[in-house]
Amino acid sequence: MKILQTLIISIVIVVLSSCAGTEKKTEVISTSEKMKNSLVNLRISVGGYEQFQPWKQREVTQQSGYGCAVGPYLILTTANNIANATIVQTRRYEMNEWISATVKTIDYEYNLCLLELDPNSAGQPFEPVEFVENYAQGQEHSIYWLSGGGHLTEARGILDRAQCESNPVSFTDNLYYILTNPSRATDQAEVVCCQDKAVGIVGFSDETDLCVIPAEMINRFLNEAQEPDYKGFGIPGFSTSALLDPTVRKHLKMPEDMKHGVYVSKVHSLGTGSNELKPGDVILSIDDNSINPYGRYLHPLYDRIDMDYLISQKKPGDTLSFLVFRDGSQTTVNAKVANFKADQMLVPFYEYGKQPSYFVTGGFVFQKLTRNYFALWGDNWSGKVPPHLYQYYSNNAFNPSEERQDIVILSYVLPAPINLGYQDLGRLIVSTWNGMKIHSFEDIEKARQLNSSDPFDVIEFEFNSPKIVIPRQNIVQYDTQIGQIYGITSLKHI
Amino acid sequence: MKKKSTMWIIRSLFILSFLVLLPPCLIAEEQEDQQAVQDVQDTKTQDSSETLAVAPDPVEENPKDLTFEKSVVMLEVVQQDWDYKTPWKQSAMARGVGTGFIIDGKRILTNAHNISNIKYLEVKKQNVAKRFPAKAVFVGHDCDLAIIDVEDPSFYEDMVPLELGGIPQVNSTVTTCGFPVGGRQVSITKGVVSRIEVGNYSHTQADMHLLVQTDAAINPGNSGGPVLQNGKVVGVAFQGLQTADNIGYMIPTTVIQHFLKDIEDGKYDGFPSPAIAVYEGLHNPAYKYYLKLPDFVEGVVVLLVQKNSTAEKILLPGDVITQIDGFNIDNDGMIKIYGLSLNWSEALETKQIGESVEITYCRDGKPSKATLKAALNLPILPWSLQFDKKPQYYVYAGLTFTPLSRNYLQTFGRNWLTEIPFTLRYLFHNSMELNEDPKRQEYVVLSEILPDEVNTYCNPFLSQVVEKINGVMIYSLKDVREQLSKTPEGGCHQIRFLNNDMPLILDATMAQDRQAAILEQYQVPSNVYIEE
Repeated sequence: MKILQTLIISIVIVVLSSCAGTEKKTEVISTSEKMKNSLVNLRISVGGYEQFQPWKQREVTQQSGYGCAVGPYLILTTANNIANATIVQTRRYEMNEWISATVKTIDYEYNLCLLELDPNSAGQPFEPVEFVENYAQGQEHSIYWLSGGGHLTEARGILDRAQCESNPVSFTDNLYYILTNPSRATDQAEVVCCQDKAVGIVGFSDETDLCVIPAEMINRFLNEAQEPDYKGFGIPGFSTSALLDPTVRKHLKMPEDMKHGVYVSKVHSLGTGSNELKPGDVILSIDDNSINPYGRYLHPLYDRIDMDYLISQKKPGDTLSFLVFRDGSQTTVNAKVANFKADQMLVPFYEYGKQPSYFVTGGFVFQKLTRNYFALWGDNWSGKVPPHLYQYYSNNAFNPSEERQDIVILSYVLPAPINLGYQDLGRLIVSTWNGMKIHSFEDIEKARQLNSSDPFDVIEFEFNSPKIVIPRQNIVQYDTQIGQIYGITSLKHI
Repeated sequence: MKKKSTMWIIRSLFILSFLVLLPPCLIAEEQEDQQAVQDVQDTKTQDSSETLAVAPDPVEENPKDLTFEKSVVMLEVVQQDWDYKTPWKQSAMARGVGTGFIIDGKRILTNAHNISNIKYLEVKKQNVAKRFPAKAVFVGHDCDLAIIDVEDPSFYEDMVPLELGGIPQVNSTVTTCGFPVGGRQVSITKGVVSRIEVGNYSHTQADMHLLVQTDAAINPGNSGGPVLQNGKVVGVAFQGLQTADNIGYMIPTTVIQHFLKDIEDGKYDGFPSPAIAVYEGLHNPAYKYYLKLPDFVEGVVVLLVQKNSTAEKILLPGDVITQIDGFNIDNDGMIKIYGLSLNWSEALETKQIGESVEITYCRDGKPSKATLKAALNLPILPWSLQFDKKPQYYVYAGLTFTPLSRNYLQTFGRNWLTEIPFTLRYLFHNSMELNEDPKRQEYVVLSEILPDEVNTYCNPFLSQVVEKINGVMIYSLKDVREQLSKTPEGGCHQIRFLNNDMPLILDATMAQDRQAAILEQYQVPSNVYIEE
């Protein structure tokens, strides 16, 4: 009996291993002839600045990425790939040379970037990939890229659904086609095809899902990028809460048979609807698309999809018609579609490729508060950042005002005799400088001109902190000295 | 550099949490621990005999230090805290062992943390089988001291009270007596006084008093035991530093004397709080010039004065306090007292509640004097843990409201400080600055929702702080009860929470109808407990 058992087991093992063998054989990379002259491999040098010593550049690292041609000398990739890049180089199939590329247009909200190559150095024109708007739910899709080793590589996955997902590089939610269980690890900006048609590029992926930026977004971006002045697309200027509770609906005096609509809980000072909507409004429909209590609407192709998608298709200046329930009745509000850049936010969400704003005097290091600055607190910074700093980001990031365009902080103090006694101060929010309210980082320079007969600059902070008094006599000399001691190449970047 | 910047925060926020109380050790762990202790003792004996052979110990024993047998007792306790999310419930009970000692007036002195939230207390003498049930008479949680009493008068017959001494010299030898990790015999350890400074008392997590650091081994179970020098008590062993070796702390006799004097009138009031935040670092000549201070004047700069405190209307931000109770304050905020250099708060520590203290301060360069009344000056959101106080709550439609306290915040688990919802974290750190309304007594939080059809949609509001009900500002739990007991206009209560633009709407009639069923289903004995 025992011998028989062993025999069966060994047969099973043999069968299994032979199966594995054949699987390996079918995995041999199949190349798509068509893609050969369209795909590129990217080499990106990533730099950027240190947050703690913003006068200093970070160590440059090299990473590889992918892209595809969308014009004879135009390459499309993700904005995420190019964020903080110091130099971008491309290499095409069966070529050895790295050709430098320049950024023509970049849109972090759409997470797309258009690179331009110099025809003189790039050689033969590329064959542009044509992106076709096609949503084939349930069908197998192929993903192509030109690997670092110069191979044309392919993976497969099934298109499962379309949904709005949060953008990994910005504060927006965007439309993505979700492919599930890709046959191998994939990366950003690889080209996704359905049968022979390119339908999108990979935006980002995790273990199970592959999020594809669809052709419709790519084409909108490419069309807009033709324009001399790239304006981007609509961003919501409000946030909503689900409106499920019948008691709340009754309280808002909504008719009992009215089951749709989402509650506007916050209206920002930036973005679409910021001037037209009010907190407490219930959005019933946008451009005749009925909005459900979760803020989604029924799309003919994509089924239930977040209303952010409606806004993100429009260009700034277009109009969106909101039907809202306000003060017991229905009102139509025509909202001008608007968008904004991260640096317009009270606490900018990102500062890719930019040197952070800072100002050093008397050894006091002043900086503009940004989301990047919070990274100094390491992982899970949201629970560790001093709460008074954090609330400007969490509660007011989208609410800059005339009164407050930037949050200026005393980051820390470079110890020197001039700042004796102040050396442990830091992470304080500047409220006034020589008696002048500080609305923006630029105000520092104006405020320093004030009270020119006083022997001191006097800085006050929010909440309980001592005032800082900096003597003006010989300050230029002191500053130069401190700059030399601490290796600060420039004492300000505003 | 990145690492360094993270360090600041950790240093400023968490330095206090490294201090660990020496809890009465858990009985369940006792057996294993005893084995470990035994091993250590065995090797110790060998070591010491070897050392003796090489060089005899020159330190002279004071025989008076060894009279502990008739003075030091073991406490066996059962403690049980409340559940601060559903305050009508109590959490699991814990059994433990601590130490106490007899002082004059037939009293036993021990640590407050040994007998906080006490359910049962028993005292045991060394080498006597009889057990003596006892009860807490006075508990000072802020200074971690307590007086307990044994009802059986025969208990004190053969006991010898210990006398209190003064502040020991740094580098002088002290002996600790107690029952570390349980055991039946008093354990003696010896060490030197390492330093004396003002520091955090970890029982309440927030109170600061004078403490004496020693390298004599102080372990769980030692808590409440005397630290002796020349036969006199120079401290009560009470806490250790978890992250360091051989750093133990005792409560010095200045704090013990304050506690004993406080209870002379039959009740414990506590230590006064200055109710101001000051800057202890007035070193910059430019800053001094700006404050119109002569260069030779030293002091601390007032940054914030607590609302509704005894310092309000006397001090203003920008004032420089130069003297307190006749002691000159230096630019580091230190005064010379007891022959030591200690934080200026030590001068206020000598005062009982209701007494007054004279301060000298400079405003706009002009010196003035003022008298501050010593008071508790409790803040709106105390950083101290509370004990022996049944938590207050109010249940309406299954929504459980409770005052915001550290005890409640700690229900979020070990990493509560970083894991609590942001608004709670902001209030915990900055309630003094954020609350501009002198009418506020406390913040009220929606601590738990007992699920029922009436509160089906209320979950998003859990752990949020109530701002208004039906348009009326909420300043206390009583306000919540008052507003929700009224019949609202339009039949619905509207509750607004801090930093939330969505209101919670409750159908008042339905809430009323469901109230009894909810209380029954979740076994809530009463829908309210509010101290009147």
